[in-house]
Amino acid sequence: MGDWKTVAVPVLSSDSKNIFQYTSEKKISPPNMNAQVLRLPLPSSKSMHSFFSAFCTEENIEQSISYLNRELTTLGFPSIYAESKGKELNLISIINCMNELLVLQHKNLRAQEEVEMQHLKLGSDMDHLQNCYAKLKEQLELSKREIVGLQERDRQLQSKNRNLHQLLKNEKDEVQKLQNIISSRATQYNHDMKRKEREYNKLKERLHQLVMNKKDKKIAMEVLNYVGRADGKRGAWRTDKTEARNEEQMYKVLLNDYEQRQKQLLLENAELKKVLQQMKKEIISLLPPQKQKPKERCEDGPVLSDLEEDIGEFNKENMWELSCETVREQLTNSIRKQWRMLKNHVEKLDNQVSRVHSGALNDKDVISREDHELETEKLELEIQQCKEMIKTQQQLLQQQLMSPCDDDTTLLLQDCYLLEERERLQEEWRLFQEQKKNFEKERRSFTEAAIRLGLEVLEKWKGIRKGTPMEDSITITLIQTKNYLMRVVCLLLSLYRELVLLLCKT
Amino acid sequence: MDFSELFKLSGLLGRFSPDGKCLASCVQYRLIIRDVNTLQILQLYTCLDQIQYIEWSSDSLFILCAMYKRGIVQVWSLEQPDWHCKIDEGSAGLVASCWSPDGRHILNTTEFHLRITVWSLCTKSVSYIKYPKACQQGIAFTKDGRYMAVAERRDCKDFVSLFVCSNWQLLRHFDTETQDLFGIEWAPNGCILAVWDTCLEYKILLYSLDGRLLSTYQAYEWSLGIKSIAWSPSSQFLAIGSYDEKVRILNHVTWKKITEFEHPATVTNTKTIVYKEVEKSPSVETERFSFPPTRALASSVFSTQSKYDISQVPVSFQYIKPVADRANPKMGIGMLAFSPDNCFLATRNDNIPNAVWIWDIQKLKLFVVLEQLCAIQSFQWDPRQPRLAVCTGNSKVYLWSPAGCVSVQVPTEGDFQIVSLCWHPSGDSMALLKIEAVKMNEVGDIYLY
Repeated sequence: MGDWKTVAVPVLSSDSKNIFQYTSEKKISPPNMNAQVLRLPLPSSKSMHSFFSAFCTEENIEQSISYLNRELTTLGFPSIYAESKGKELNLISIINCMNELLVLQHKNLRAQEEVEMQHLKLGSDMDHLQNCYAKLKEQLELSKREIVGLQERDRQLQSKNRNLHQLLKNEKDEVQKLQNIISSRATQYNHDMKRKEREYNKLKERLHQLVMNKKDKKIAMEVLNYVGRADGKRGAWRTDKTEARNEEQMYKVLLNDYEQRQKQLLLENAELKKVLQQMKKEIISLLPPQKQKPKERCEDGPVLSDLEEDIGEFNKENMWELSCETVREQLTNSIRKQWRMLKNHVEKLDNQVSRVHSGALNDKDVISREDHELETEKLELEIQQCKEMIKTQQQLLQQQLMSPCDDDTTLLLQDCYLLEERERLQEEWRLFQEQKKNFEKERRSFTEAAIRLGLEVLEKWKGIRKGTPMEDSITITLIQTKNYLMRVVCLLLSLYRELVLLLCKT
Repeated sequence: MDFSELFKLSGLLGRFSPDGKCLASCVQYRLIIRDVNTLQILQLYTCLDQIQYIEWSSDSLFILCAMYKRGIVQVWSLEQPDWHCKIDEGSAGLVASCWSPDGRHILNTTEFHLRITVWSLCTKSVSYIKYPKACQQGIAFTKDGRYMAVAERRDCKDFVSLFVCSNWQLLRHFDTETQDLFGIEWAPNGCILAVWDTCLEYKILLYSLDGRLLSTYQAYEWSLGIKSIAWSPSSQFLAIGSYDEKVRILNHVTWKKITEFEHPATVTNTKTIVYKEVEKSPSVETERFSFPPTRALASSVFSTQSKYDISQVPVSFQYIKPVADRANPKMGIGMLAFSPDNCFLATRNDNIPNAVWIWDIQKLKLFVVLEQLCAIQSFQWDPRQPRLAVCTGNSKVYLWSPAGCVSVQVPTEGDFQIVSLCWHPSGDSMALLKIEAVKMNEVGDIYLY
């Protein structure tokens, strides 16, 4: 970084001998900065005079002024001479020039500052980049090493794999070889066996001949008497007819067996077809109705209408018995189609349920899980209670029915209860009949009394027109009838009550 | 469950008659016929030599006794004890003998499988079948007894001949594409004949009654092949057990494999029930000890009770790898049996000899595994219901049904090593056979654990 040393600028006088020119000096440390900066050595204040006198002394004022003028004009400043020819200095232009020079100097200083800032920035960036570069280089090294390691491993594994393949191939070859050996040995053994067998057969033949030739009297059957055949019939000669009959019999047996099997298979087929039909109907019933979702309708519409046609066809009874290829295929194809539709439907429902669970849908139709669980718990409790009630009732019933004594006494007891009841009922019936008779009598008497009363009242009313003491007797008779009526009503009520009780008891 | 007394028996020859009324057993050269219900001796017959094989005729009227050493077959009648019949093969020798389905003919296989002689009890006629095949199951009768299939071998090629049993007329004769036929078996419906090859070659051929080849099935090459096969009672399935410890089920419509049952050493499926037999030591009251100890007490102290526990899946079984350099190794599925109602299949993997695997055929999955303490000797299904009886060579018989599993101790003095058992045709009782003795066992209500 540069060292700034500012030096105060003294007051300029027109004929001052000491024109101090203070400059700043900048020491540039980084060696690679190639900016050409005007460097003017800065002496100490003591040697200021000597320095300034180095350029302009008393002797070469004119030359220095002309030199300055030349420099300034080359720099583009106006001349410092008043007129182009004279030696008189234009103070104003000198001042202007100085000012311009100062401004220029400031500008240069600022530019220098900026450049130095940028320089610093670039320097730091450079450092940073160098660090990054170093790190990346390290990483690159590491990765390269890793790659090498992995490549090595890969190579090893590949070679292992190749070895194993080779081993496998060897093993397979060996197995094949062994199999070949086994087969060749087997053929050899078979050949030897056949040879030995032929020899053995020859021996057997010879032995057989000898045995037969000997006419061994011993080979015989001794039996006390011949036994009848198991089925009681006589034996038959062996003829061509019997041969034909045997063949026929055999084929009959075979045919029977095949027919039985076919019958079983037909039955099974019919059952399976029935099951398929039922499944089809149930699947159709499970599928959602077509009003709700128009989207579905346009997808499944044509299919369903076909299906409905099929249903109409297949529900005819005679279709069931047909078993030709096309009918069978149609049935299975239609079931497959419907099954697919049902599957799609169930998948849609599943999606809906999962969406509800994740809380995305707030559908009113869908019952939340907790509500559902509460409901089920409540229902379960209710069921339990009902069950307990049923149990207790059953127990009570059983207790009533089964009394802890043996059959005879229970029968007797039952009988005596019945007798008691019957007697009671008879008594009550008698009472009832009596009461009924009484009631009839009273009813009759009441009607007579009512008739009499009516007649009396009529007479009395006729008599009232004549006089008043009849009123009392009327009221009296009215009261009397009222009492009588009340009595009758009470009696009726009691009778009614008795009747009801009787009926309840029976 | 009631147990009868012990009867002496030799040669593991104890047979119920097909009508279920009698039980035949033989001791040395005597044939004893007992009534099934009372176990009283009904008849006693004496034969000329030690009896090696007995068989009831299909109508339970006759019983044949074969004596291979002397080459003699003697036939006895139950209706007429005086009736006798003796068939002497003489120098031809005798290797095997069996009844025909009508109960009136006897088929004798002579030594070296030179020929099969058909002796008739009704007439004096004799028929010969030449070049029979010397294999385990060379003769097979259909269930209704109408046809007989005989495996033959001529000029190093295998053939099958079909005969009509009523008059022994040859119906069909065709060659089979087998290397070395090992066995033949009719399907229960009598229309399909299964023919399978030796264990060196996995091949099973299915022929129709009229001799047409319906289908061939070959699961794999080179390794040891088929060990045992079983038809389901409805002829719907054919189960093939092979040396690779798997059972393959073929269906009767396409004759293709519909499933494979594996028998691994570890069962991991949680839906399988594993019954494990555990010993429970009997409680002995020390005060009851008397000196010298009675036989009953001794046997009860030393005989261990056992019961079944349900093991939690996964369960590992004891897996035995047989020696590699021996022929007929003890590996693969050696025993296969369908239940009579077609719902279950019981198998035994010879590599895991202590376990019986019961498969549910309706679901085609493993249903139950019974793990025993000893190796399984034999198992038999009840002829009427899905009930399996297992014996493992100790004195217990084990019964399994879909309702549960029970182990029954045979009350006996000393050791009673049951090696074989056979059910009564009605499924009410069964005979437990051990070397030198037989015991009848009434199977009543089963107690479930």
